This record gives sequence, C-alpha cells and structure tokens, in this order.
Amino acid sequence: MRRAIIALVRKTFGKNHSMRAQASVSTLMTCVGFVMVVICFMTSLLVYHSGSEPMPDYADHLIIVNMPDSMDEYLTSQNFYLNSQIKKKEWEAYYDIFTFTSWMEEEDAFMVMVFPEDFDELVLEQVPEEIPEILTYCSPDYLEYVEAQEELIDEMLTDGYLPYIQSSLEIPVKREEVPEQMISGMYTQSEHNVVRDRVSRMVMPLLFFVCIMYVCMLSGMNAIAGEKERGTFAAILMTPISRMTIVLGNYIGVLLHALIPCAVLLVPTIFLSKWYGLPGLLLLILSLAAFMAAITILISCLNQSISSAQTTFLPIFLIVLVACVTCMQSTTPNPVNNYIPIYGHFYGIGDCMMGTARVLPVIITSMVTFLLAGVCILVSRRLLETEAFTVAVETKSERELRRAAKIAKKQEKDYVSISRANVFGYHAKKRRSLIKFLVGHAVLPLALLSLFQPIAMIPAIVSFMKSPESMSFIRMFRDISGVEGVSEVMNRSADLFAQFMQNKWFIFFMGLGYWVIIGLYVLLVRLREKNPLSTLGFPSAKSLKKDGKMTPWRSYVSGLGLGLLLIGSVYGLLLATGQVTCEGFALRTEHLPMFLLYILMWLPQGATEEIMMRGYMIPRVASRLGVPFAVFFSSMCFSLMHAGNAGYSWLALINLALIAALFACIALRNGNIYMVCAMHTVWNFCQGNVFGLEVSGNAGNASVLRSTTNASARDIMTGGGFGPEGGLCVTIVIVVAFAVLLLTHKRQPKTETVQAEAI
Amino acid sequence: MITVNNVTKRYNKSDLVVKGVSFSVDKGQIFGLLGPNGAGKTTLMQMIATLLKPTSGLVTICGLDSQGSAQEIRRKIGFLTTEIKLDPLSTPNQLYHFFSELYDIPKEEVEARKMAQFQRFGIHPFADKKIVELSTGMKQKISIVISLIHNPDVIIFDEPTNGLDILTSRQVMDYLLELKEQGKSVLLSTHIFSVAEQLCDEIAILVDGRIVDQGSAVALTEKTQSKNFEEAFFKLYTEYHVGG
Repeated sequence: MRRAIIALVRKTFGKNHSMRAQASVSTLMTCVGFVMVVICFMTSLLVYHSGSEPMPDYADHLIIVNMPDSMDEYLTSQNFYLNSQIKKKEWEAYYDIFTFTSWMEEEDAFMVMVFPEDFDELVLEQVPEEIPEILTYCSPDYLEYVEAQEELIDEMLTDGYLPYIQSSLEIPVKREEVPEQMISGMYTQSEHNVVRDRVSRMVMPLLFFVCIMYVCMLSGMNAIAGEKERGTFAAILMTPISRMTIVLGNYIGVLLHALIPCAVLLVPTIFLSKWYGLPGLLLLILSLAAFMAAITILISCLNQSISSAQTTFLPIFLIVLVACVTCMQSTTPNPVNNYIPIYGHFYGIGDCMMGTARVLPVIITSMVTFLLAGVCILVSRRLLETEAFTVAVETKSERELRRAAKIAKKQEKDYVSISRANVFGYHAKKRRSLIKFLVGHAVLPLALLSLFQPIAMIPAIVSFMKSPESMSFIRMFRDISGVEGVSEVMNRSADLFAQFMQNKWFIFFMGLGYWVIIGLYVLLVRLREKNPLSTLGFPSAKSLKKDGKMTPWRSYVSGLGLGLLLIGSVYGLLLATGQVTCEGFALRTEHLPMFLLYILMWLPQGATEEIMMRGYMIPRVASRLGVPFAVFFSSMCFSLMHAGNAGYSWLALINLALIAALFACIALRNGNIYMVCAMHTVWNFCQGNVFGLEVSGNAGNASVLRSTTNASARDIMTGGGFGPEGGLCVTIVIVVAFAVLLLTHKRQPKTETVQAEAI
Repeated sequence: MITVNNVTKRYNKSDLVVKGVSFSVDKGQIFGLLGPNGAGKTTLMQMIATLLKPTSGLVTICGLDSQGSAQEIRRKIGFLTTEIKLDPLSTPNQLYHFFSELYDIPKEEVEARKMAQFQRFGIHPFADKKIVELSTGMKQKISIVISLIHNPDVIIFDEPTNGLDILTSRQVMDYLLELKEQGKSVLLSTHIFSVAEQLCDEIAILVDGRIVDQGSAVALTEKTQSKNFEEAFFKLYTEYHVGG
C-alpha cells in the first residue's frame, strides 16, 4: 500500500501531471476578477486607514440654505467664529443633494445646512409641537472631519441658536430631534503600527486563502476528475489497490501542491510575525490546506470532468472569499468566530502574526478542520466504491443508442413535431422542459416590466429631488420603511406610485420603455425564433386582405370603438347605480401637455401587455398544452401581474382574469391582436384620463371628466382603491360581453349550414 | 476460471442492458463474445472485471466472488477495453513503472520484464515518447503490455483489434494464441468475424443483451445451415433482434 500511495502521490504531484491541463477559462477569469476586486477593496481600506494619502485641504466654508432671519440675528449678536465663512443661499427644494453638492464644490464648503423656507413663520408665529427639520449635508471628501462637524453643529445649533430662540422667544425646543445628521462617519485611528497590523490581519490571511484554494482547485480537479475525463482513471481502478489508497495518494499529492505557495508566503510572514506566533500559524495553514485539499478531492470524485468539477468548486471558492472579506471588515470579531473554521483561520493567522493569538481557539479550529478533512476523505472513498462516480459506465455506442431511443420515444408525443394547436400560425421549433417552458413564459413579462419601470423612475426621482415636492416625496419613501404589514407597505407604495404617475418624466420614460419592450419581443420572434411577425399576432395587411379579414388599421379603429363601448358601459353602470357622480369637465389648459403624454404612454402600454400576454404567450403555450390551457394560463399571469397594485382583491383577480380571457377570445377569433391592442389602450386611457377613475390601483390626473365616489358607494361595486376593475360593475359588463361574443360566434357556423342546406 | 451465472444489468431506471447471461470460460480457452454495437458486450465485460456491479446474478473468477473479493480478483485478471485510455502526457516507460508500483511487482524484476515485453511488441524505440505522439496501433500495444504487466491468469480483452491495421492486429492475435498456450483463460469480445473465427474455441452470440447461441464457429455455422460463419451470425441476429 505504501508503494502504491507513493506512486500516486508522485503522479499527482509530479511534473508530468502538472496544472497545464485545462483550467476552464471562465473559472480562471471569475477567480482573477474576484481577487482583483478584493485587492482593490483592501488597498482602499489600507490607504484610508494608514493615512498615507495626503488629506484634502480643509474646506472652510459653511453653506446655510434659507437662513431664517432669527438665526441671522443670533449669529450677528453672538459674533460666532464662523460668521465670515458662512455663505447664504436660497433654494426651495429641501433634498436636492445634486445642487447642494455642486455648491459645496463651488464654494469650497464642507457642509450644507438646510432650513425649511418658512422656518421663522413656523417657529415664531405659531408654537409648533416640534421644531421643523433642519438638514445637514456633509461633503463625502471630508468624512474624516465628521467628528469636528458634529461638534460644530452642537455648538452652533444645539447649544447656540436653538436655545437662543427658546430663551429669547420662549419657544420650547426638543433637543434630541435636531439636527438630523444625514451622514455618519468613521474616525481615524492613530496607531503606530497600523500598516503592519493591516498587512498581518488583512493581506496575509487573504493571500494564504487565495493561494491555497486556487492551487487546490487546479491540482485537485486535475487529480481524479481529470483522470476520469481523460479516461485514464479506470486503469487505476483496475489495479489491485484499495479505493482508500487511491484517495489518499491523490489527496497527499494535492496537499503537497497547496503547501508550495504557503512555503513561499511563509518567508515574508516570518519577517512580519512575532516568533511565538509561528507554531500556531503553521498549524492553521496546514489545517487549512488539508481541509481545502480534502474538499477538492471530494468534488473531484463527484464529477466526471475538470470543468464540471471546477464549476462545482467555484461557489465554495467565492463563499470562502466572501467570508474572508467579512472578516476583513470587522476588526473586533465575535469571540465565537475564533473557533469556527475559515473565520477562525482568518482571524487566527492575523492574531498569530501580531502575537495576540490565544492557544485554545487556534488548536480547536485546527482540530475541527482536520476532522472535517478526514470526513471529506472518507466520503470520497465511499464515492469511489459506487460505480456512478468511478467509470464511464456505458460505452459510447451503447449510450448513444439508448439516448436515441429515448428521444424517439419522446418525439412520438412531442409538441415540436405534433403541436396541439396552431394559433397565429405558430409552430414550435425547439424543445424545452415543461417547467422551464411555463416558468419562462410567466416570468418574462414580469422581468421586463420590473426592469423598465425602475429605469423610468430614475429621471422621475431626479426631477422630484429638484422640485419643491421633494419633501413629501422623501417622506413617503421614508415612511414605507417604518410601516409594518405587507398590505400597509403595498398601500404606501401605491401612494408613492401615484406620485410617479403625475410626473411627466416618468410617463415619458414609461412610454419609451414600452416601445423598447415591443422592440425586444419583435427581435425575439424574428431573430431568436426566426418566425414571421404573424406568430406574434401581427399578420401583414396583405395576408389579412387575402383571408377577407379587416385590415390592421380598420381592426385597430374598431378596437378603439369597442373598448370605448366596454369601459363606457362600466362608467354608465357606475353612474346609473349611483356609485359615482360626474362633476363635469375638468381638463384645464395646463394639463394638456400631460394629457398628451398620457396618450403617448397608453398607446404602447396597451400594445405591450397584449403582445406579452396574448400575442406571444398564447400561441406558444397553446402549441404545447392546447388553447384552453393557454387562455387560462395567460389570463392568470395577466391577473397576477397586477397583484402588487393597491387595493388588489379576489374580485380584482377574477375581473382581470375575465378581461384577459375576453381579450384572448377576441384575439383568437380575429387571428390577430390589432383589435385587442386598441381595446386595451382605450380601456386604460378612458378609465384614468377620460372618466377620471383609477386604473388597476394606479391613480392619474389630467382627466377630461372629474368623477367622485359617492358616500353611499360600496367598494364591492366600485372596486375601492383598485378602480372599477376591482368591482362588480366590470364583472357584469365583461360577462355580458362574453355572452355577446358567444352568440355572435355561434351565428356564423349556423348561417354557413343554412347556406349549405340551401345549396 | 470465469463463471457467469444469470447476470443482468440495469443502468438507473433504464431497460435491462444485459439480460440473464450465463457462460463459463475454462483454463487454456479463448472464449469470444460476438455482437453488434450496443449489444451489451462492454457492460458484461466491465461486470466481469469488477468495474460494475451486476444488478442480479453471480460472477466468479478463479472461484472468487466478483463482489466480495474484488481486490483479489483484480490481481488475477488483466483487463483491456477501448474505454480505458493511457495518460496522453506520460511516456510508455513512466506508465510501465507507475503501474508496476501499483501492482506491487518486485523492483528487481520490473526492468527485465519491461524490456522483454517492449521488445516483444516493438515498443522500445518509442519508450520515451509521449503517448499522445504515438500511433493508434502503438497505443493499443502499450495498453496490452500495461494490462498484462502482472502476468494474470485470466485475460479479458474488449475489442483488442479495433482500429488496428492488419499487421498489428495479426501481432495481437498471435500473442493471444500464445497466452492460450501458456494455459491462460481469455475472454474476448469483438464484432469482427475473422477474429472470432480464427481465435475463439467457443463463441457466444450476444444480441440485445442476451446470449442467443453459443458454440464453436464451425458448430454455429452448421447449426444454422449457413455457408459461412458470417452468414450464421446474420441469421441469428435477424432471428433474435427485437424489431429486426
């Protein structure tokens, strides 16, 4: 056995089996990228803490925005030492950090203090329950001086100005509520050996970890998984040596490899370390290398090729590195962490180098790690006794034959060869697993919308920051984090969304986003699927004419009419039942640009949702699972897509699904989605911007009519906060529409049979 | 020497690949397994060579149970299959030394044995070249030498002449006959009729994982009333192949 182990060690460690074998490029790139990020992070920390970078000059101005007269008086009377450095500014937006930052740069200021515009009126004329907020912004360049700035604020506001207005004007001031500090800073350390400390506690442990893991990965994956990939492993399995010998031989080879960089790293480490920390350091490094080598051998046994083994190891590599970064961040670890492998190693190596290590944690960490390594080795041996992890169990020809038979069997019932329904002329070309297929279809619309909506919010947020409404906007943001309960958070978010819906930039970029989504779907169908656009529900005018159907434009216009009829009926029903009252014409000239923007937004919005849920989803799902399921599936997806909106209820779920099903039936009957695109657009547009109702929980303004809900109105009829789509009126209208659709649908074959009989 | 008793094999949940196969190979006999690709020859041989475990049935070699005494059996058999490859970056010399250590061959004997075998197959001029640089025939010859490094009593060769030119395959066949004369048992799988016809004392025809007939080439030809062995094989194959 000894001879065999030595032979295997020599083979794993020897130069004819070196690491030149295929380290997969992606693995290598990921590791290098990650290590570089960590090094950058570490360097910045090191530079920051060591103070080797010269500090920026102390900016010496203070900007006070909307300075109240009372404060001016106070400062003049007190002859405050900063008086000459104070710059006064006026600005109505309270949270406009963009403007404030640029001022700080222009004026060479280190801080901006913002008072509400009407501070004096609020405080002097009426005695408020609490002092209005005074905000302070610190320049990020001078974070080192935050302590000094806090002192300044204490001196100027808390101990000066605020007691002044309190005593001279007899206004109570709650000390703890002002000022609100926006940025909390870090304090500089003034240790002599800060660089040595950082190198010992951060750089060296990380280098040990990275080197050991990387070498183990290359060598370990090459050892057994590499042998399996090259087909040479079976020859070793056929020799009369035990599986344990094979595992041990390879393990020791990998371990020796891992110890090479450790030996190199030990040279600078010894110079940096306290001598009495060295035994602990060696024990920790050895146990770490032993553990990593055992893990790589285990993974190597589990996999059949180098790249798959490396892919399996990659998450472990990254998790350990993340753990290292966590260790780097907390200089005062939880004592328990010293006993846990990886954490214990990281802190232990640093402590041993600095000579502050304790014996017990080092020994316990090392022993636990050795124990874990032993477990890994035993599991590896067990794996090698099962045939699934040892040889390529079938010959290629046998495997190919079996696969071919399996595929042939599958194809007999396959939707690619025999599609269950042919909607919009779509025919599947590729086969995907059922779960992937359905999840993909359900998630795609949601993913696209959740990508483009937040993007459209960015310009809106920026514009809010620069406007006087920033106060209420920021408050809303802040309030959301304070509330408890999902429904409350959703309601608050809806309020916030309503703010967005009144922002022209949001509406503009949303509209733009919808056009992009439409473009993406067109590209998806044309370039990826290589199908004509008719499979998306957009057949050409020519083909429609040929089939004797309405042209796209006529379809679209009649869709507008039909949509108006539908939503008009809902509004009529709401009026007739006395749920809402129309208060007359409400559109004012200043609302016109917004009104036009809404039209430009609803146009692609309706089309986008129809393309996603009807044009794209239905033909594809139907070809595999049949039309009824496709309609059901797309309707449920459509309905659940709105589940995050305010006031969403069971009735809203049913109504939205019914509306979706109605649109689906119309689209299927027409063989295209031109008409439903128009219906969807006009439905949403009329609700929000003609009748002044809420659209699926989203309120808008710039409406032609103003409608108010009566006090006697019932939520079950009006839909409450969700808008009419959450109420029974829509249910009634959609059910009637279904009935009409059914009746008109039945008439056609009847007339045909009558004609046939006549002939 | 080799007894295979009602052995079956199933991979995962798939259909049976080997369906109740039984045969035995005596000392000094060359036993051939003949069948088309995918008939289950390699699986059957890997089970006999202890690399795979039979789903049911029993394999004994030199009286040892293949499951209970796998390690001892491996000492007694030499196994060669196209699935087992040689490390492409090693040289024949390195491989020979490496495997001689795994087989625990006395150090003083290694060099002499190696020279004899390398010369027998004409490997010695290439002894220090990397495997990757060598021809298919040379690689196969090195595989044979390595698999017989420990002078086993039972030899299991899976398609040993596959992909070889006439000269090399002749050399291999001669060597197998020589081994037979030395009293070793040889189990051979092939889909080449001439090899089976010339070498084997007994041939089992394997179709769809089942032995459909067994006997010497002459006996099988007569039994199926065919002109030659090739025709006999086709007759048996068309008779028993499912869907054929």
